Amino acid sequence: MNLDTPLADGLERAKRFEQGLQQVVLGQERPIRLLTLAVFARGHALLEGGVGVGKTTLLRAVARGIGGDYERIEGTIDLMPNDLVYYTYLDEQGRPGVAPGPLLKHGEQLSIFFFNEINRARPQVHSLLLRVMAERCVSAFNREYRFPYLQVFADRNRVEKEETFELPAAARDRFMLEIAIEPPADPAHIDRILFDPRFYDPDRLVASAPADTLSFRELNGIAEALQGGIHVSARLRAYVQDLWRATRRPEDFGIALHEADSGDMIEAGSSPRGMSYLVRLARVQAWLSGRDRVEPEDVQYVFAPAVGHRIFLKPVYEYRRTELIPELVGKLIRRIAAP
Amino acid sequence: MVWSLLPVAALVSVPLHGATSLSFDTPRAFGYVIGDLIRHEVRVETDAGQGIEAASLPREGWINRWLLLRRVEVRREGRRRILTLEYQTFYAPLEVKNLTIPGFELQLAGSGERLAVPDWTFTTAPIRALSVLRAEGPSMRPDAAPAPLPTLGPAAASVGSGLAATGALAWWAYLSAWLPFVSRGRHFAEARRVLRDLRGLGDSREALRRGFSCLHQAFNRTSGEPLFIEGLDEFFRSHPAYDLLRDEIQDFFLASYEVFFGEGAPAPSFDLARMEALARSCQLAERRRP
Repeated sequence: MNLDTPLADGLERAKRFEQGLQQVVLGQERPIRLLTLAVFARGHALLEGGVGVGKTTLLRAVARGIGGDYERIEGTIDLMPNDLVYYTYLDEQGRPGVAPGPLLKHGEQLSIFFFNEINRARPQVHSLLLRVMAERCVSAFNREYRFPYLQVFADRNRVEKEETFELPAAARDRFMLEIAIEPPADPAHIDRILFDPRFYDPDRLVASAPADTLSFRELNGIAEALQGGIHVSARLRAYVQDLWRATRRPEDFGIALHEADSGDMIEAGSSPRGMSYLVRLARVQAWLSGRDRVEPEDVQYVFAPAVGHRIFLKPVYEYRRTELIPELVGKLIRRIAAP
Repeated sequence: MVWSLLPVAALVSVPLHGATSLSFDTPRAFGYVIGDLIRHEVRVETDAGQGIEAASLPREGWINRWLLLRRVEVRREGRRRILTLEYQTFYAPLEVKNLTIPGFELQLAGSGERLAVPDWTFTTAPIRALSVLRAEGPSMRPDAAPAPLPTLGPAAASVGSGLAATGALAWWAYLSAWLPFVSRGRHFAEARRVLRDLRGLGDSREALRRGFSCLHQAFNRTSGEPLFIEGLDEFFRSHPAYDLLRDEIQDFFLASYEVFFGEGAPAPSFDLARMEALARSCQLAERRRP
């Protein structure tokens, strides 16, 4: 491997960052790798999982590793966009005052904004978030606030469906990854989580993670160098294009689902933005695997979390999305040949 | 002239006293030869509709040397009883001769009244003249050759059903994978053909690419889905026949990744000849597979 020195140095720190996360949250190697990929590909990530599986802890540890400021907000049904931008109060003299809200108060230092239970917030909030995610800026107090280092992580509880607002397609498409977090399966990990006092207090647990292994100000530079430095061959480009076409018309590639006729199942395949995210993630994955070129395995590793949530099914099938999409994505990876 | 009257049967009615009547219905009385059947019908009608005493009926069987009573049948029509008699003559006359079927008496059931059925005389004739010589005229001729039975239909049907049965058997064998050896190793055989064709191009980059591609295709088809480096362990588990070639196959995949995904990578150590050897080994491994 003949990576340039900043990339080689970055790789070493990325490995430490990943290991730090693995000490805090056990048995989540794949979600941790995916979060690391999101950090280095500078994309936003949507976490999906049950309650109490360690999503918040994981994100706080990420924020600690990256450095910079971390802000968190809970999605509720009465949350309005303004609540993110400013809040009003009465000061000690009884005079009303207006102060920047959670989104603005950290200024450019804001590196991670964690939106808990995003599907409980109203569509108005989603649309504000959409702009923050896409443009990394927001207008308030007659000026524009910019967040060049901002990464949005959101969390969606998939247990409850009442009083929730499903994320619109545009909002989902802006998330680079949709990471499913399952409870750990390894009995040794479960044993430690249940009985080791280290895991009882989340604050102390997060504080035990290595701080500032990465510097949030450098991440954009590393990401840029990395995207330029990892080689993608012509054959791999063709492979990614095949995958893309297959998300739109799987039947052209001879892919059919057992129960549903995929010919009229898909409303819309993956977006160009989604495929661009996929390539970016694959490059980072190749880099983290210590290679200077992308191989099909890199694409396959990130394909499901990067593309699965971008395939929209016809309304009839949408109710069975949780069964159909993994099957479809799995078949796309297994049926399309690279070399 | 006379012959035109033949079908007209002679009807002899015997009026009896009281209300009982007997009619005797007979066919023509001439023109009989040996073996002819003669049918008589006797109708007895009484006021009370009495039956005929069964014991008074003539018995089936030989009446005399030349006359056989083949059948005796009594049926009832209202008050009338109809007695049907079927005689057969076996008399072989040398010239035209009168013969007589003897009459008999019937007895009515109940009243015991007796009714006489008269004799019936007919003329019988020889079939041919006594002195006919073989050469002179009609004599015994040999049997006609039997017409051949129509065998075309059954023959066509058996050929057709034979074909259908063969086809069904072949289909069944295909479904139950009885003929696996036909398709075994054919993917690698195909790859070998392509590799042989590529020999002429030498180890140019383009030839290498095509060589790698066709061998990859053979692996993909053998495993049933695209095979990547990550899937190799699983492939060796599910296709143990290839386990002996594990190192060579892994080298092949590494070299192929170098060619397809590397950037200006140096020519890999895997040349076309080695690929052809690998294809051959894989084909043999497939053949040896249990």
